[in-house]
Amino acid sequence: MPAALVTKNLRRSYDEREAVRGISLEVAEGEIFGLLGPNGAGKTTTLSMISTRIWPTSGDAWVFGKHVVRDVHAARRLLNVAPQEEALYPDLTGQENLEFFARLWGVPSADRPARVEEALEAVELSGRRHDPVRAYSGGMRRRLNLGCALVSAPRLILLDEPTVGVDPQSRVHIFQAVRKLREQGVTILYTTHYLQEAEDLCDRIAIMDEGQVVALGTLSELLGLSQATEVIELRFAEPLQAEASLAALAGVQRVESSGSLVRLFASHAEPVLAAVCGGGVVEQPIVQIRVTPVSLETIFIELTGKELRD
Amino acid sequence: MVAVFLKDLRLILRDRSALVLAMVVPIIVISLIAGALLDNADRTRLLLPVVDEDEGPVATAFTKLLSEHADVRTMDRAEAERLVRDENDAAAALVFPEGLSRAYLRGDTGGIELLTDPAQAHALQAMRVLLLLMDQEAQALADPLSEDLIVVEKTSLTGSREEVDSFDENVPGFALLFVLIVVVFGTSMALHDERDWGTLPRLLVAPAGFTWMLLGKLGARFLLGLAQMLLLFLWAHWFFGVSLGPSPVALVVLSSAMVFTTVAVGLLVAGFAKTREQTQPLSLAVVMLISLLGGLWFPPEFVPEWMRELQPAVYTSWAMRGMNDLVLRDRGLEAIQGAVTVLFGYGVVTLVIGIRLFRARHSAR
Repeated sequence: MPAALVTKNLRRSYDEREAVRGISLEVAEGEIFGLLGPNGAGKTTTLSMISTRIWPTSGDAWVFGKHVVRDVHAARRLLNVAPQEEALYPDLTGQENLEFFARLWGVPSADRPARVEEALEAVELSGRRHDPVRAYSGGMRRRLNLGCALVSAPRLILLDEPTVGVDPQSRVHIFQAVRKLREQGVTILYTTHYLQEAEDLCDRIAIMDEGQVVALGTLSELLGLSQATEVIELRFAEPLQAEASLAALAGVQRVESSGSLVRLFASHAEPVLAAVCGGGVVEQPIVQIRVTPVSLETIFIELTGKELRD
Repeated sequence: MVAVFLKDLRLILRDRSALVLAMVVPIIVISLIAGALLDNADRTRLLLPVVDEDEGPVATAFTKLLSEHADVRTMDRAEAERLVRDENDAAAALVFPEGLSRAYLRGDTGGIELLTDPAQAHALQAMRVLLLLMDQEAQALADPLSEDLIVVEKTSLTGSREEVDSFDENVPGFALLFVLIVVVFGTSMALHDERDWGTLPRLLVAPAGFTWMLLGKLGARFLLGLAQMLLLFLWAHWFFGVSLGPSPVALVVLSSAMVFTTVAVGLLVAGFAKTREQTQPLSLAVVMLISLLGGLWFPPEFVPEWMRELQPAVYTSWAMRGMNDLVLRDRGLEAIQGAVTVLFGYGVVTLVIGIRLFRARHSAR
């Protein structure tokens, strides 16, 4: 498949601070590619460079072979973006907003009504098309925001945290719209800090932290990065003093502690649990035990040493 | 209540530029108004071109009397007519025709010609007062006018009308002022609206390009401003009988030039102001300054010399000049060519600077 998006050593600095530090990606046509990272990881800055909103300090990016700086207008015609912040005219109706953005992206007037109709259906707002946007709920606005990115029928759509602050019903609508786009062969670059979204929607995921990609692959490839297969969470009544004794147990790959919570990354949980519960390893009482398979969250924590929070 | 008070105070103090502008703008405007109205020492005396074709004792005596109260300059008729009709530097010129003194000495009635620009109503009024004064002083000297041996014949050089009422005189200035307020505020705030709605980032990545997007926005403001200005003139014409001049095309062209430049000024303001709070005082400052310096508030003879010298640098003075030619002097398209050229030139330069400034702030960088 041809590459829908290629970035090479993309960097962006703001004064002294380097927000993006050499991102290199290749996204295939028709792929849903997730950029996963905590707030401030550089996801939006990366997206802004690809969308031509800001220029890279150095490095290159191509959208279907069109350079985002040197061939900016051609690149813009191939993509559209749903920004993290709502970008809508509150006094216009939903339909009028879509018509405006269709016109702005050069959709021929003959095709415009059909495109607007498709976008309204995709985000399930047909019934409210004539209402002014200021009368919409927050979730409806986010859906219309997505609709405005779809209306030009772009080959690459950049979705910047499309579900932040969205009610569960609207979140489902947005997921449905994204899946439908994939069926149509549209390439999607999807930034999120929700692990579940990345796991459910994305074909491949790049984990970003502090302006860099720290891991990239399919979900199973990323899960395979960990030597552990299971994670044992032990919660103590008070912060644990004897981490070293847990780390020394056979089968434990790594130990992390945060306050009274200790995580043991193990190849197999059962013998480790038997040793911990058998006594003699830790003297403090355990108040809760939880065993989970290794997840994207585990990988993220392993790679960055940070937790993702909503 | 205290919490809200402190929060608002903190917000106000955080945007230092807006705060400084809000404090400084009224001071500057008040100082300029005071300068315009109170600076009597700097105010020039009324310019009175005198054409002495008589070269006799009557003309000499009158010229001497007038020199005590006005800036009398003796010149030939062509030059005097140019100053009144073409340059509009003088509201009237006084012509002492050949043979005036001889007729007077014979005891025959003679006439003094007053070549006027009725559009300069205030200055013309002052000129009439001056002639009355001259009459009184002449009576005291030789009593020549008491026998009505000399009469003043008025001729308008600049239009069909002999008189311009105060409504006619004030409508162009106020029309321009209101359009200035609406267009500058409307344009600059509209650009900030896009930022507040969050739509600016989306517009910035549209294939049409940033400059076209800006021009589209400005085009809508231009159309609105033009419609407002023409409606204002039509209202004044239908309900108050204000003249729109002999050429509707000229009125539309001049109004277009004025509104175009004003829209560009609005863009410039939006480019300079980083926030909505900065936009308001900056817009106000610009509107006040260019309307005051452009002569939209007071006729030129009301302001000091230094302010009059600044006027050609302010585009509103050209708009005012053009409007006066159309509305007060009943002139057509050819009379406003200079004003229109200057306005469009000014507008294009301002537009280019404004676009560059706005691009530097918001475009892909």
